Amino acid sequence: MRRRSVVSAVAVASAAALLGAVALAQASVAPAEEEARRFVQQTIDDVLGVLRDEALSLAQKKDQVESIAYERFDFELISRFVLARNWNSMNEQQRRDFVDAFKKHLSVTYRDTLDSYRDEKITVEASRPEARGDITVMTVVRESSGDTKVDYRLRKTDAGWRGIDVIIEGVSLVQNFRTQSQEIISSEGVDALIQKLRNKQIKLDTETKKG
Amino acid sequence: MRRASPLACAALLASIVLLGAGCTKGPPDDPWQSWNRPMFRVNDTADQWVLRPIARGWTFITFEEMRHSVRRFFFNLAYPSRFVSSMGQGEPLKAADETGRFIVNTTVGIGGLFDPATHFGFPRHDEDLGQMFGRWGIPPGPYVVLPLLGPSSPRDAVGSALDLLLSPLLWLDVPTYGLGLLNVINSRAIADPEIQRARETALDFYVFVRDAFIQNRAAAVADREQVSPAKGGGPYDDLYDLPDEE
Repeated sequence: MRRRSVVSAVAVASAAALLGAVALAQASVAPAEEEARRFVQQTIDDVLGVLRDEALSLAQKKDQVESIAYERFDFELISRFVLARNWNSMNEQQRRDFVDAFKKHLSVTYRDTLDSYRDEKITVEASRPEARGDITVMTVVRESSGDTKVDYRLRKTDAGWRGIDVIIEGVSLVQNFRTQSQEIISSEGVDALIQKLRNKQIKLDTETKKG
Repeated sequence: MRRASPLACAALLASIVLLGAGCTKGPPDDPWQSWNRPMFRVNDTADQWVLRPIARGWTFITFEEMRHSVRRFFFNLAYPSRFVSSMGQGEPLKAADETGRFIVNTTVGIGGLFDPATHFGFPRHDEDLGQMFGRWGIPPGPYVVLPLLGPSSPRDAVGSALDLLLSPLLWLDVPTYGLGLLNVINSRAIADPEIQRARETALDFYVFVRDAFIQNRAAAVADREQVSPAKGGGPYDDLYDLPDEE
């Protein structure tokens, strides 16, 4: 009898400790971070949902994933980060042309990665607050060939959380495009950069149709 | 003869550093561009006309799972350099993880062809000697494209040469060059879709590779969990500033 009550006391105490620990763990993640993580998790679920839907053709899957990406990333912000100071010296038309061409370029680039989708597991691992209220959400893509670290940097805009960068194995897409763009702008100018983006796209488009 | 190859690498490296010091033009993150760009073109041509066709042949005669096993085999073999690097960075727990992984994967995982250690709870740590030097505060130095070996930096080239010296391939009685070649072909075969996509979509493939290399090495040295705003923010913090409109 006595033994039993000791056991139950221990059980109650450890349950309380566990609950406390869970509450602490939850409290240690700020609400904004929690929101950002949920946003990333939701996006991953939505994309995987489309990819796993056997009723859809590959082309339909690509279209649906593309519209999810268009909705969850802020391409104007991304373009401005890529162009940095150059954005200020561009006129309205050039800005619109760049955002449009860049968005299409990324879409064409990443559409084909969906061909190689093989039921990988993606998990949200951690998050980190950044300057200007941004949040970086860290994920890992697990494949039989090994793990890949993919981080998403998010910013809360008027429309809600939006992706503003993707960092794959430490390589920021924004930084990479900024470096490439700057070398082209400084030697050939902004219009040449926009033209280059469009040319790439046309070439890739015809290749995709042929393939 | 086997001992000669790292020495040859060191001599090659020394000559490149001397040569690079001669031509200091180019942008700040690429002072040796006048050497690097032509060398990159040479490597890319050799890759497209020699290595890639061989790698595609390898892909044709093997299964995907086989290629992944071969990759795991060579990764497992590189354990000594991960152990030394972890210890050198003052991370004995990582070194212990790697030791556990090596024992489990070499035995249960049949010589490293499989990776049961991950399921047994030993996480994998991609460490090498270049990262260890970075953690010690040694800067990478200028970006350099090595003949046939590709993107590197003086710090990472020395690190890679020492990684190679620590490889059991050098001191076990095995056909070192044959296995080394197999590793190169197999790795190229696995990376083929990514490499081809980057070649097609990059606005400037040379700059794309250079920037990706520099960013990836900086992140590997920092370890992503350890970058925090408390330590001065993420590595690219000014990247997300909006310059004031005029």
